[in-house]
Amino acid sequence: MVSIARKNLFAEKTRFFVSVGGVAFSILLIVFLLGIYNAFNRLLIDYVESFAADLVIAQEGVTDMSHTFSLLDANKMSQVETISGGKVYGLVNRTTNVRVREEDGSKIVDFAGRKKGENKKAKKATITLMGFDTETGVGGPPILLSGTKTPGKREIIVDRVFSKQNGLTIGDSVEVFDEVFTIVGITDKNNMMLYTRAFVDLDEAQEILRQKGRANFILISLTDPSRASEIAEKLESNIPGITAYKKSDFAKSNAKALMDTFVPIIFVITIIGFATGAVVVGLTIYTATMEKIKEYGVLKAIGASRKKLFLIVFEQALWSSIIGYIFGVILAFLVSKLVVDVINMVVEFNLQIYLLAFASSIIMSFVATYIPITRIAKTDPAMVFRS
Amino acid sequence: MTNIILDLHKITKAFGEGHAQVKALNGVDLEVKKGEIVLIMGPSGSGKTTLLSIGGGILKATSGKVILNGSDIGGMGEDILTKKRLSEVGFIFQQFLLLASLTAKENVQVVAEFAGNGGNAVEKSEEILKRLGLADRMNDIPANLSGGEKQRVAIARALVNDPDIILADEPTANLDSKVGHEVMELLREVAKKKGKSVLIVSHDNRIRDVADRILWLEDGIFKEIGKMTTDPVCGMSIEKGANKTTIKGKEYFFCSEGCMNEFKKEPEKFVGNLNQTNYNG
Repeated sequence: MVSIARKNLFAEKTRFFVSVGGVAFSILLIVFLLGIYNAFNRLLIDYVESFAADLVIAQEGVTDMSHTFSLLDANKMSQVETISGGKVYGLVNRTTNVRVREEDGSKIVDFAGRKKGENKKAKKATITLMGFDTETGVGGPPILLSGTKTPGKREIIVDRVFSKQNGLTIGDSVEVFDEVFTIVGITDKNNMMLYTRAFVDLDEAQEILRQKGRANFILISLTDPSRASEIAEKLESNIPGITAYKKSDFAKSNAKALMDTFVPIIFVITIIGFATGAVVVGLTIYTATMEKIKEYGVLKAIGASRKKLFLIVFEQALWSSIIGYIFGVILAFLVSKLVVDVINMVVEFNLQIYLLAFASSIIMSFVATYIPITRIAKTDPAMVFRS
Repeated sequence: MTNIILDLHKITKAFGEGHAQVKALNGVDLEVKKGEIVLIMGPSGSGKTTLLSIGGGILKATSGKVILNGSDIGGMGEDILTKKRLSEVGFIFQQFLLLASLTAKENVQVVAEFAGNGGNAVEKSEEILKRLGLADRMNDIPANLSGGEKQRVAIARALVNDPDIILADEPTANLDSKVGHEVMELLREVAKKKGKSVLIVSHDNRIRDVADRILWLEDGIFKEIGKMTTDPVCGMSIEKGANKTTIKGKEYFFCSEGCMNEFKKEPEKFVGNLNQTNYNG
């Protein structure tokens, strides 16, 4: 079968490349933005989902680990253990600055007599310190790239990006709340851009944060996980001043707290990206159609149905959109590798994103053909007889 | 079974409304028989192309009947009319109007595919192009074809669906004398050997040699061809009228006083070059 659409499209190479390029950059923007959204979403959800626990207890009114501060004393811990009948684990989290270098830029080396807390000009980095039960690993880093998963006294596990950004590795030291900790492990997928998570033993965290016996959150592992909702209700009814979450609900709540801020921005930019692609394809298809309007008139005169002519225009737009989509996805992949390696950004693609972007490119085709098709419908086939 | 392929009965076509209305055709009758070549001549703006468009179902008449192959196409819906045009009418245009991005073969093949003959469209188009002497040019795009070759591709395109009638608008206008003659011979062959009717609209006097009938259309009506002649000064085809003079016992007619006066100054200049022609169809 002769494809008039394909022949017309590839005959004008410059216009074809412009059309494909427009769609490609539009898809790049859409896929990349959604990749950032997905990555952050996963970062927030995956850590909580990794807890070997069924319930998460927070101070009443606390919805997540980022925006609000929760503190639960030893008494609450005891009550939770008694009422739930499950195994309980404390979790500490605090966002703070840590020193990663001495004032002269050298690595921190602890020695007797070293002055702490006076290196005001020293290089610092922001971390969220997670104190977890190292005996069981509940609340600890889900991924370990190297080193140990069980930090001991004055030992710390840091994220890969933290390690790379600060030129530190296993065996090097950081100063946290005036105490020198040795890096004993490197984890991954804990980079929140503004800060990274670092992991220490629960007791260590409680000591340096001066909250002995107190935790920010309590994690509960139930003997019968199917009773999680029932136990949560029971805990809330019997222990004042707490909120009990199922793990999955707490995970979503963590994501929601952060993503609600970003979703409108991402949505608007995505729409702009889509519109840009549609306009570029629309313009090129429109100019291509108008250039060939006499040929469409000839085809009409000869006996081509309106449907056939519309399909020719639509096929042209579809080719541009699909090829543009392919290039856009490749570009997104390449750009993401670059930004992850060079500026430590978080980007993660999944099938849903690719499908959504593909659907966008198809919709672009429909949008792009509307005006040209209207123009063809109005074309008088008798015009072919006018010179 | 009727031998008339195209029957135009009392066709009127008006453009515009009220004071601005112009009648391109005014109650015109025309019958084209099977295998007949009919040539319609006339000055520019006389309604020739309008008549052709109405005959092919591209334009709707203001009043009158158009019977194509026994079917009244006046009230037909666009979809049915399109199908009828595709299978029963072949068009040849003055400027060839081939699709620039398609090869010669694809230009013919695509019309066969539109008609639902996708299965053997390639074979049909190759066969027709070979018959028209374009075996070596099938895979060339129109930009690489000569005028004569383009017109032959256009003829092939018009024939591929085996239509009953070919409507040709100035088929030789952009061709030199030799090529124009070849095209006319092709059209004659199409009519006489294939039994197709051919309705041609043209200013080209050469086509008169192949036409079975010549009609003169002027001001929207057919006029008696016997009353037509050629102005020896400007060469225009005109009706015999008041502007006339006699030289050596022979009458000469002119489109205007200006041409007549110019003729009178130096008649030898014009009489030697042109023997006045009468159009007797």
